[in-house]
Amino acid sequence: MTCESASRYFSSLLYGELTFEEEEKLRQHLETCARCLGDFEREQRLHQALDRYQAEIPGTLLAECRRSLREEIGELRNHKRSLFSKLGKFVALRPWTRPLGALALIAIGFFAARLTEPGTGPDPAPVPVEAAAYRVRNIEPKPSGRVELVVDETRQRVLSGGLDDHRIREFLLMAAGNSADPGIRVESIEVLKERSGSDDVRDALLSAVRHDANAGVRLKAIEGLRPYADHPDTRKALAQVLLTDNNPGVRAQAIDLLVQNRELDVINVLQQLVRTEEENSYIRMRSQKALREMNASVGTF
Amino acid sequence: MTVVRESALSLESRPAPETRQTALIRAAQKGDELAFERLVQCYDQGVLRLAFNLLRCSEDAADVYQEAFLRVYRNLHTFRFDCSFQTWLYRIVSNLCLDVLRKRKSRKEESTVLDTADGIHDRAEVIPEERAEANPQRRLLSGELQRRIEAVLSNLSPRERMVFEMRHYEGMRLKAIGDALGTSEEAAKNCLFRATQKMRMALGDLV
Repeated sequence: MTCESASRYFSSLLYGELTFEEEEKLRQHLETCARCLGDFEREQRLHQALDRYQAEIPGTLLAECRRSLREEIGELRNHKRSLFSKLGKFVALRPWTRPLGALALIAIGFFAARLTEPGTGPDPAPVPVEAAAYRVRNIEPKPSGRVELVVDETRQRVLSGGLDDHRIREFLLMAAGNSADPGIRVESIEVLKERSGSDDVRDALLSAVRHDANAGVRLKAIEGLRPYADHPDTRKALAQVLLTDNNPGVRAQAIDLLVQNRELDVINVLQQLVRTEEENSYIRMRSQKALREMNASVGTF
Repeated sequence: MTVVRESALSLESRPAPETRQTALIRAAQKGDELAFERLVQCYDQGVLRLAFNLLRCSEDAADVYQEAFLRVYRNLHTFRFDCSFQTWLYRIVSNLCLDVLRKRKSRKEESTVLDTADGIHDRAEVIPEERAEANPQRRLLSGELQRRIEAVLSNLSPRERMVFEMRHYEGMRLKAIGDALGTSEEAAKNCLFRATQKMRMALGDLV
């Protein structure tokens, strides 16, 4: 591998996009070429600087967007309903259209029955309402005295199975990322971390480390990543945590994990932390201790 | 093996394996409003993060969010599972973001410098630096580095910027990025290489 081709691979290596052979060739070249190693280290620092440029979504923006989308979709639905009601009025005012409408409905029913396979429609069996948690979406009183309700139903069921069962795993991954209850998120991660070797679980753990609002969940996710502390994506996420997480406990655990594999990129992050950490003296001291243990200088000059 | 004690969940129970998301999409296609809401919530944080990172403006990001999910709502019945839902969604989002970026590029920037009777004033000097206040992690960056990053990002072509954001901040694989942008993995890779090369040239002496 030449120096020129090596430099083309730096970013791909940091993004984990190289094949095993490509990475091997590049690492061999870096071991023998001090100039490229220096360039690669500069590329790592560039990535770290860019990591810190990631913008934080303003706190209420997501909630505002969701509310506004709900309203907009609600209006679209009402518009659709009012079109049907206009059609109803049109027919009511023009009695001669009724036989035509009836014929059209019979024709639609006839062809629909021929085109659809039996058994593909929704389950016609009514669901016992008392078994469901429900939300009333729409109420429409009928002239006959009956009332028509549109109801969202959420019912519970129990699933059991091993972690190799894709449905169990899907539900756990969903709970780890989306549950509103941090307790459920922690428990999901606790169970999932047994399978941290698989990509989907590791991605869920990395996402929790980076984005979960609850420190307990982030700590549990870091614990799950322990066997993969030398993986580039893990190291990148931990470096980000170290520099940006607002919880000292999480930052301390990130340091413990990062220094496990005494690699050069950690030294830069720790040195930066020593320079910039003002809030928490324990974190500063812990970083200094880790640097001393790695025989690295505590400051940069 | 999954044991279902009470089979009453509104999601479809089929003998063939079907992922949760597929079930949600099918339910939403049939008009299940709750399923659509859940589907949105599975993806909307990523969508908003990408739009906000890319456009660096709450209003533009919120507009992209709104328009993207309205398009999904209106066109979900046309989704035929010939690609992943995420790819389909990110194709919509990336097109919307690219439109905004292209409009910005073509719009002539208004100068902040005013030549008045009292002398020359730069209006930018009196505008408070909202971003740094709103985002504590930015304070860690030196002012010069931050300015240079902003400058180099704004000088990337919209496609380079999109690929870079998707890979660096969203952690998407190049294959998925290529699919979302309707191009090959190799083209996405080249685009990313150009973007990182420009950044290396612009910021190399600062890091």
